[in-house]
Amino acid sequence: MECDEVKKILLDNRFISEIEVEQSKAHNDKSYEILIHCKLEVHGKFIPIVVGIPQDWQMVLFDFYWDGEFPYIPHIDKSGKLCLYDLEGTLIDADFQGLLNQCIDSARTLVIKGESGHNKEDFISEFGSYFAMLPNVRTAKVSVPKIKKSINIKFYEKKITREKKESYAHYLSRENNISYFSSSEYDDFKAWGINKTQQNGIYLYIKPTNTIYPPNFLEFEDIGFVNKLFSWVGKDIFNKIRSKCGRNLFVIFEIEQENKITNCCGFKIENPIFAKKDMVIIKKFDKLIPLSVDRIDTQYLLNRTSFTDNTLENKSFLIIGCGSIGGYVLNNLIKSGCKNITLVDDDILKAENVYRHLLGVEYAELYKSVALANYAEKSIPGIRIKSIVEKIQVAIEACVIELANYDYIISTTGNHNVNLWINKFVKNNRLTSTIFYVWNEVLDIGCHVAVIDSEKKFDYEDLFSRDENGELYDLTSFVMKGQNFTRSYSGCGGTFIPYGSTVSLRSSLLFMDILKQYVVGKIQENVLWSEKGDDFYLKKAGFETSDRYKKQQNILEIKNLEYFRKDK
Amino acid sequence: MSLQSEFKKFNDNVRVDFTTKKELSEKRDIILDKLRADDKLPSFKELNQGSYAMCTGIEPEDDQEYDIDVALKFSANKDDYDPIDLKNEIYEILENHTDYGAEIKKPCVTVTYKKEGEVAFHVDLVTYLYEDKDDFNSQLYIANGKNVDSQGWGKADPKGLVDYINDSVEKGDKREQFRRIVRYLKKWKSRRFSSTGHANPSSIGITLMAADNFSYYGDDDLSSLIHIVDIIKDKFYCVGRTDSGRDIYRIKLSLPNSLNFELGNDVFEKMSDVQMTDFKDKIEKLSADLAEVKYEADEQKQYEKLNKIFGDDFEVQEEKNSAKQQHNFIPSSSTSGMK
Repeated sequence: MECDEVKKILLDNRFISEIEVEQSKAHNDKSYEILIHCKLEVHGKFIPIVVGIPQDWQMVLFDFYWDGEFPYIPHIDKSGKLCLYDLEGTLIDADFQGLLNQCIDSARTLVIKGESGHNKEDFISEFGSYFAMLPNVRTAKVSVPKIKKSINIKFYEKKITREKKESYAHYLSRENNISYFSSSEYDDFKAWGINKTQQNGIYLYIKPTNTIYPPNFLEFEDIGFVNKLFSWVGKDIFNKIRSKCGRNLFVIFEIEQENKITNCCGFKIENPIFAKKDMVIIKKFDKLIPLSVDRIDTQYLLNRTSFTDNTLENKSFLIIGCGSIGGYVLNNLIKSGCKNITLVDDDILKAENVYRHLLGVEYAELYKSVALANYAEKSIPGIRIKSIVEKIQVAIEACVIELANYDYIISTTGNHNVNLWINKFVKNNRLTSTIFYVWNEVLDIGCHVAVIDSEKKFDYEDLFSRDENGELYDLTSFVMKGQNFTRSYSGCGGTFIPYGSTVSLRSSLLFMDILKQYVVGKIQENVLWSEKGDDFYLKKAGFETSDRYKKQQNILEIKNLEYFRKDK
Repeated sequence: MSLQSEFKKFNDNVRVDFTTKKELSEKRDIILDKLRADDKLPSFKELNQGSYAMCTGIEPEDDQEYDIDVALKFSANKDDYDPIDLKNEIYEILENHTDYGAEIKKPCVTVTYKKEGEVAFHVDLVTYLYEDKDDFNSQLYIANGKNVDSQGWGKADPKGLVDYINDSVEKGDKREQFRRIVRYLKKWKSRRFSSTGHANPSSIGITLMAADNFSYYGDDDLSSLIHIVDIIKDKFYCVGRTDSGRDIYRIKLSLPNSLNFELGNDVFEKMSDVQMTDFKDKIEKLSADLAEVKYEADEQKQYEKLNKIFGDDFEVQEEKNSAKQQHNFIPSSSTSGMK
């Protein structure tokens, strides 16, 4: 990109004037291929702007800075940089002229909306990022309590130690790297590997009747802002929880704004002195350190994955079988925020399992259910996984498990015999349960999920029929009956059905799709979902596909069990 | 289809149409009747001035509005009034005339109209008083200023200026081409300069330079336009250098000496040196762009280049239109994973 080319484009833009273009210059500690100084016209005002064009503008667009003094308006950071586009979820059409003109339009809109106050509410939706720009701010990882009332919480201060030969000035400059961890739950400290001394802090939940905007980082008036927050806290409750804290206060505020958005921020206040009034008012303090809150509570972290309120979070799950499918199903459930899961399996994870199991050799020789529970608890804080090392039949008959205690039961054994046993047990005992049966087909030719609600017509038995000779066969199967697929490399105890890890991933994903539809009431009848894979490996191994495989037109077929039976 | 016929089509697209002119003149007449009916004002004679009178008006851009400039020549001696007096009277009479009301500006009182909820056009009423109200040939003075503190009288010759422009080129094809060239330049100006503040060169400045330097090129608007643009480009002279080392330029252009304006006036005086230098940079770019059009052998490409300069009013048939409305170059995508 040449300066002349850029200047020509800008000369054609009526909102840009006083253009000066330089090649290979730095601005705000960043190198740019081209740097432009110009004025941007906004409603008759000519704003000095610096535009940085990086070498990889096709990937990251251009940086626009307000040169000189700028107002405190949304989407301008403390270096004066305008946040024009969030690159997440955008596609960039690498047309330089088009992009530059669009960014100029966007910069004008941002300033117009900012100065007129039209986008003031953006301060609320991005409260944390503006608070994080306050001078001397430090970071606190906080698991915000689920209970929405002011309580004591614990916190840990990760201090910076002065290194040998380090100047005192340099040590002080690193002080802002002091960070905090805070939660009301002991388990969070454990899950995040913090086993150091914890101190008492304060969590204050406030519901102001007028919007609280993030403080202006350009002219932060600390005591005024803190007292604004304290003004929404009851004196009595505050005194009660403060009495359990030391001289220095560690305070986390959760602010429920008028529009139901919640914002968090915190302060470490050294030696505060409170006014003797009916309200909580700080008169003075030795030091006040703003704390930018990084939330680590499940409720918050799951926001990235959930499209609506997480209906799965408080449900209880029983996973029967912790093999290849079971491992992936568990992983999907915990990543969806499910916390209450019981695993049943009496098998041990062997080295030969690891290429199609979620877990690797570090878990080898552990019981699969125990290994998966360990994995889950290490991955997600606050999760509770119960592992039962038994066959499902034994666990049920010995009353170690009560099926009725679970909202959803998932059988991932891939074993029709076990599944038929479960089906029969539920029927005979007139239990009210919904059971998801998940299984793979041989050599990656497909996978299936059946949803059987014991109160509805048709059940797992209806997936089977008898041929003209009275021989039982699987109606769902994608392979012609009468073929034997088991293999063994180590005698009778080591037989297995060949399939790859990817088909287990597919079946676990198919299950998640069905589960999500089921919980929101989109599935009303007992159904069978069958996903068809490629028959390449099956044919190569000399096997034949079934008529069902041949007839299924689409990759995925969803059949109400009543119609499924009729078709057969 | 020829380049000239496309230019004429472009002219038809940008010139203010008859219906709009009619509507503007109707609004003007209503306002004038209202002013005449008020006994606080001395009697006056109106005179259209500006682009309306010179037949060089163009359709405004989306964020701009139509306007009509009306000179009100009051039968009153300027020595009997302060410049702001009659402007205040006009303002008071018209402040509730439309939803947007009236506003006193430095050279005039503006009455703004809206249409379908949006600002649609405004009427600028320019106040003039005589040196001697009994002698209509005596010097006219324009009432300048927004208030008592900024008020002042300035010698003016509104009719002389309109006549000067209109008579500068002989009637017929030549005058028609001259008016088209002015419209092209004004269209270019409205696309290249912000309409607010003084960043854009005044229309009267551009019209005057075109009038003084017009050459008739028969059926060749492009050459006539290039001729004027190159003359404007050459009128800039260096007046210094900014702190950052940028050479700065100006044009000094007085209203015709033959007319009765203040001596030493400059139609570009409101523009800063840097704004004038932007004007120079932009007109040089226009000159280069027009030269490219001229030397382009492919007619279709000529249209595309002109479309890029003047926008969609210069139509490009069939082939891809290179200066279509800016489309979205940063569409959203459902793919993710960056964070």
